[in-house]
Amino acid sequence: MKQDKAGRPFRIGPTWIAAIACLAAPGCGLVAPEPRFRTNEAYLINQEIKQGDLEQSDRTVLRRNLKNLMVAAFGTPNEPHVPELEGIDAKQLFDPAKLAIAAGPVASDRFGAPKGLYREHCAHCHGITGDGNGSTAAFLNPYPRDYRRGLFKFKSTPGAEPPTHDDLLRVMTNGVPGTAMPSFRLLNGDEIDALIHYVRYLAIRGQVERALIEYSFQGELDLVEATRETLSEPESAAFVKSEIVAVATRWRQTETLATTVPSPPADFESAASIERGRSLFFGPIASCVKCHGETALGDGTTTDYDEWAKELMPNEPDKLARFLDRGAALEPRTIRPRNLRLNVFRGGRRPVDLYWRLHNGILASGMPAASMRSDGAGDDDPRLAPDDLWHLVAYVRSLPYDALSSPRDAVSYQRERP
Amino acid sequence: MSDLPRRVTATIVSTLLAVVGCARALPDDARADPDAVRAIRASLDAKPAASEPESGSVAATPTGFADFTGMFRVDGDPPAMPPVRVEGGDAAYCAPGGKAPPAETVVVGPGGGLAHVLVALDSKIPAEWEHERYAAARDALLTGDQAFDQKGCRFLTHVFAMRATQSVEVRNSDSVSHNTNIAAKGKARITNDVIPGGSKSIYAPGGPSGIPFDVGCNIHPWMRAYMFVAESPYFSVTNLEGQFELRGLPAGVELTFRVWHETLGGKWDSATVNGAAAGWSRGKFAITLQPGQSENWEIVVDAAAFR
Ligand code: HEC
Ligand code: HEC
Repeated sequence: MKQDKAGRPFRIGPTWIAAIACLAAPGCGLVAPEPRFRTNEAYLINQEIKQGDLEQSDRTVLRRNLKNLMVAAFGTPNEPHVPELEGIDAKQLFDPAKLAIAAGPVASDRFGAPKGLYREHCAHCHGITGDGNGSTAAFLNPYPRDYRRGLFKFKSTPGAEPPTHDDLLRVMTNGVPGTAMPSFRLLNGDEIDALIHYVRYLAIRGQVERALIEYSFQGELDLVEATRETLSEPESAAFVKSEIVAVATRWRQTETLATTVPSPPADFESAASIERGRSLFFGPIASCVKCHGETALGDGTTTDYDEWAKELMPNEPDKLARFLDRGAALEPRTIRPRNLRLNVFRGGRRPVDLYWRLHNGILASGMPAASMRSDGAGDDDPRLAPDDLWHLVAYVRSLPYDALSSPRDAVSYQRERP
Repeated sequence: MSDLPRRVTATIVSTLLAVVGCARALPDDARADPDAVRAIRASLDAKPAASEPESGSVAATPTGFADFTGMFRVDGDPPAMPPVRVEGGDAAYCAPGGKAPPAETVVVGPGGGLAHVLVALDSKIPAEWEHERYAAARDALLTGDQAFDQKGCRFLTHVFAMRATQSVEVRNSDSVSHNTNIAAKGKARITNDVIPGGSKSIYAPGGPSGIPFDVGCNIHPWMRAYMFVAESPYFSVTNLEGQFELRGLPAGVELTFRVWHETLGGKWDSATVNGAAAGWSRGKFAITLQPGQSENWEIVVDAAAFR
């Protein structure tokens, strides 16, 4: 195979396929204006449905003000910007020097170091805006992550706390196995670091935009009433900045919030450990069986949607149509609890990865955090102790090697069930 | 030497990708106005002035306390509520004999009262303005009758409101497991924990939600409730008689209130207050109450608004 100077295989990758698909798309001229961040149209529609429709003229004013505010605060895809944030070490979150490497058109600087990394490696899936709606997104399942809610799945932190730097690094290095998200282990450390800063920048930008949309509908900073003058006043600047600081603070604090993982019991992954995990899996406390099904093939609850899809109100056809008619979002799909017999773990197959997954759940997918005993509680607390969680991990890791995981056996098992 | 061929091809590829016609165009995606951007950025990048006044705070000082009560009534026949779609492994438990509970998107009591309307103070007020009756429960853990409970695979409180400083027991009075997916907004914390049958967990939102948000269960996707996490103690959700009550409000100052209903959101175009058009803007209105006053409203909503 041909290789480029850096020794990387040179072949037709997803970027090329995207480019060809793009050229083939109707309406593709060859004049290339500067790319722009797209306004979060889907959330505007969602808030109109929830909080009351606007007049057409008000819609236009709101969008224009929002656009001006967002460009003022965060810049453009070619020239990202972050306002001075008092009391926050913003360099740790989105270092301007790193953003400069990740942003902009694909190029190299005068020493040959690459620039425009995000557009080269990520944008065709995750979109210029990080809205998960790049040119190839519609063909992928699952869809690429929409960063704009700040919700991430494969992380060490609980609840909706953002991923730590290490979490993002792990996702970038390993990719998300079983999905289109590739591994970027061939990029060098600086390049990956720059991309992580850029992902955080797009996420925080998106979270602030959503907050501003909410505030506008609530009337706290009404972007229908606002003008360029009122938006330049110190009060509204202070308001917008306090929101950016609030979002950025959570991303800074998350670095200390990773769930600590106790060491596994001595008999971890022994036959007894796997058996204990199996009985917990099917039992009423862990409740895994409810979603993952009697066969763990992921056939329990199958009519649910993830948080991204729920925002499009998929169970109400006339509301859903408002999003899809405008091309504001990709067609929502139901989320399937994972088939656990495939030996593919999206967030990593190490015991610690699975411990985090079960302990904290998988954010926004519907998979809940396990019901854990309160600290210091004894066996009279029926909920799960850390060792129980380890046995569940052992069982989950054993499932792909279980006899039923051969497809023919699984089918006959299902057929035999009453 | 740089890896030139790779860079050149990548540049061509990205240029092609940047072509505007490739993305589905959104009609309203406005362009930024460079002058406006410059002015706003200058203000964002300026060092903040020493002491900013609390934005949105009320200037005057209260002169006493007043009550604001009322009832929401539906005029005409409200839409019939179809049963929710119960399916999956727990169907026999959740819909015994195939009888699923009705949806609760519009719940009207026997007397025409509209239930599950949230009425909340929207103005930001200083803590000193709060009536002392609210002090004791400020940091309370809501349990017992005030807990957020689920039974028969439905949430027992369809619209649940609490203060940001409080926490609440999330109970599961069923014998099947639920997972309570609290998809909070604003500064309120998002959680999604398994709550086994007969068990409970505690939700401490930590901050106000600004708007009501969804609570669901992913094991039983038909389950739906709403929560609102308020900054002030002045909020009320209407009962089956359509009644709400806000007691001990600061008087002598203009207060803005917000009215919300699951189906109507902030759309109250048809509503009348004591016979006159309400004229609320996205569910908001401002009133000034006098000390000792008991303001009482009858709010009538046309049943057609729910279709
Ligand atoms: C071929 C398409 C594709 C490309 C290229 C791609 N991604 Fe992804 N990415 C995905 C998909 C699909 C997911 C969602 C996986 C899931 O939901 O399980 C994802 C998820 C992610 C996540 C979220 C992980 C989490 O924990 O939720 C991050 C962060 C991410 N990608 C970053 C990047 C970055 C940075 C690049 C470029 C260096 C990139 N991706 C390139 C498809 C892609
Ligand atoms: C409410 C439904 C629900 C419950 C209960 C549930 N899960 Fe899941 N689980 C899911 C969904 C949905 C996914 C897929 C998430 C995704 O694709 O983003 C998933 C994914 C997984 C994964 C894949 C992780 C990865 O990295 O790929 C594992 C392992 C898993 N679940 C184990 C469990 C175990 C063990 C339990 C019980 C302690 C459990 N689940 C309980 C819904 C559930």
